[in-house]
Amino acid sequence: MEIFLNVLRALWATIRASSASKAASELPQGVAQVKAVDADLAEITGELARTELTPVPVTPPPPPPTPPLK
Amino acid sequence: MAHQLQTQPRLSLLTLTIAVWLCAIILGLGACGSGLQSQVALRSIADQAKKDCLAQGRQCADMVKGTDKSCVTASTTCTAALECVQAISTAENRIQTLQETRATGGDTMTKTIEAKGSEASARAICKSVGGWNGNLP
Repeated sequence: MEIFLNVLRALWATIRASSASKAASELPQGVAQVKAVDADLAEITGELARTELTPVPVTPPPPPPTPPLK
Repeated sequence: MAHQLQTQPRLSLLTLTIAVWLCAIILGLGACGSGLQSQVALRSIADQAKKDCLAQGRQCADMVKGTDKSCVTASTTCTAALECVQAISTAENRIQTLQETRATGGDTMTKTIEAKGSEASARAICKSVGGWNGNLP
């Protein structure tokens, strides 16, 4: 019976180690997913705050410099 | 007879111990589902919500001041998308924290509950406010 319990303990330890290794390898991809969702959030927030572009007022060209009086 | 009575509780205790271990292993296997897979699935839902928001937004010239039907629809869709993606962002962060804990071999019980709970919550919110299910399981 003790042998059986030892086998179970070993199996548990193997599962934990495998899970830890898999999680560690997935961390960078997880960070990318988090960033992508944050970007989506920013885009939606920006869309909700989007206002009509106010037309840039057309300024008349400056008058040509007057020639100096002689 | 007396010997049998003495060994019976011992056997039961061992059986119970084995059962507890087996349960722990089975639960452990169940809880060790890929966190990345959940993150990718949630991101797919977030992308879907954003896409719908932007598509509706194109029909409206001014999302802040616009009061016509297309602007109201766009504003409603984008507000729903915002709710959905905010919930997804929370879930993504919790799953990431769980993954970090798993990677270091720490205690994952509480974090698993938080991650699974927030994922379920985000999925429910997205489905109810905008019908966004994502394309992945």
